[in-house]
Amino acid sequence: MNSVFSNKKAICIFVLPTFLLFIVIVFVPIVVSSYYSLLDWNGVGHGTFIGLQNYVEMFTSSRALNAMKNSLLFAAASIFIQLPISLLLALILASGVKGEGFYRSVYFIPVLISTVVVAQLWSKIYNADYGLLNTFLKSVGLGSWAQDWLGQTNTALVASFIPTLWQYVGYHMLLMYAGAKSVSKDILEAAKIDGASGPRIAFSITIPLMKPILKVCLIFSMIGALKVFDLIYVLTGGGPFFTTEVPSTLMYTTIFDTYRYGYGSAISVFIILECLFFTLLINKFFKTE
Amino acid sequence: MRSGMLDGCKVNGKIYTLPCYTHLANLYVNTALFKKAGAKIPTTYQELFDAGTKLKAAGITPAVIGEKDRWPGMYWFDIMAMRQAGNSACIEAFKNPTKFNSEDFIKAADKLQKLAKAGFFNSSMFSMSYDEMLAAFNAGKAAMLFQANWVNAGIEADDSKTKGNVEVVAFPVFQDGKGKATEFFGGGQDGFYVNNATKNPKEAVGFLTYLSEELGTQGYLAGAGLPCWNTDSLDTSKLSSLDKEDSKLLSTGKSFITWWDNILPAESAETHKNLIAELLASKITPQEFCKQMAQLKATELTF
Repeated sequence: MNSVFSNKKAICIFVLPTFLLFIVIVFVPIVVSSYYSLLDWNGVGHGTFIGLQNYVEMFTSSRALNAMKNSLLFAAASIFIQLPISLLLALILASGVKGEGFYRSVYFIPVLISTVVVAQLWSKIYNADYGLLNTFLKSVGLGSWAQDWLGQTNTALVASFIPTLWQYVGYHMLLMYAGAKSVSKDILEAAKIDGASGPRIAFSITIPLMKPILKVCLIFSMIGALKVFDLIYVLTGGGPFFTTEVPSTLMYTTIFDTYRYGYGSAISVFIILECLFFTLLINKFFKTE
Repeated sequence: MRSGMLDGCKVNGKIYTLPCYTHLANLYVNTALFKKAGAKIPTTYQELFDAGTKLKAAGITPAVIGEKDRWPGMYWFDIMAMRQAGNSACIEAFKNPTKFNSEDFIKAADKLQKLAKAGFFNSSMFSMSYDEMLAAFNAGKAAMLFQANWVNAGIEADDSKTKGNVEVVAFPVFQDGKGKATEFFGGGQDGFYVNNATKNPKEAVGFLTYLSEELGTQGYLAGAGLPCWNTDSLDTSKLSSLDKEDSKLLSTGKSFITWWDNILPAESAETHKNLIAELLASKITPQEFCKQMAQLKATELTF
């Protein structure tokens, strides 16, 4: 075994297939997209080179800026609403409640369901005419609150946050649960003997020791929110009147509805750089801690 | 080949394709709901508006639009523009979009917005998709639908609540408008094309002519679309009543304009649909609507 690991040639050979796959499927498309983002191209024939004009248009277009704002709001909701809920659930489950295994599975089930199915489910819940939400409100006497959740400009964005947050709570909970469980039992026992209460233990011992896992969850949650596409696309298509539009749905519309491959590629490069930027930011934040 | 079907297939006088079948948009009315509300099937704009009032009073949604996908609403504006300004004025506007900022188009936009403001359409239209719109109409939840003949199969399906209760009629004519009942929305055609570098052009054309006629006639009998080919020799007894009515309407047609989002350039088509959505939501005035329509790019098709 040791001889295999220490043999650099062996390492190279075993890593090579996946490395090639990664280069071809991930790296090359990014480079090609970056090239397309410098063109004005309708997808057929040759495009005209226009340099950074697509980027200038993107940062001066109110529609693109609105999309970016929406994706940042999604990211904020993911970090400040979804992660705390996941953390709370993880800590409760890790402290040894009855039915720990059962709850762990139940909370994880939404993660397993395809995003399109989740979107269809919630669009039926939000349906203005026969949806579960409006029917429930009417039955408890709050009929005046029943409205067209996904069709009104003032409710659509918040309404589309909820399925996004709901679906991945279990995923982050599971990661944090694993992190919480890995805290040494000795420390916890010592703290209990010293008379520390549950919340005190959580804040002073468990959470600080879970920092690496928290960092991973933060990065995944943030990037997932910045890139969100299928849920928004199926729920609202970016509407009504662009109130739920995010960069990825704008990119889709730009490329496939208006045939502007250059501008669409610029948006995709922006999303990549945005995710990279925030990842580095979060890494830096955790390093200085 | 039926008369009028080749008009859209000619460039510089040369025929480029032989279309197979086509689609036409007409007004579908649920006769049972109309009877319940005591409303009359409309033949003019005023009758359309009055039918809406009667239906609303009976607690029935007059018309349903799945505006989440934006093109169902586009169908309503486009036909109303064609009824108000007439088909030839619309074609002129495609070639020179500044013509959209004119009295007839403003009137059409105003009429559509009046319908929307009067609650003519379902309040959930902005979150309702095209499929949900069909499901709602087929379940008898709305009295009118303005769509193309591809919806016939769903209405006449065995499990449809509206089977046998739906009639298809030409969209009402506007008495102060220039459009006629023989002007239709639709009639665009799909056809086969032969690359001029092919090795056996005669055989290719011969085969595709045969294929086009077969698809057109057999497809019509199977309910795939309305025929571009002559159907006098066909046995149409097994066709659904809606398909027969649609075919009759097609034969009265003298002028056809296909879906405007296929005529306008891609980006302008998107703007067109978005503007109509804003018009339906009363977010812009008819005047502002036409001002922005005037800024669209001209069609790249030849008329």
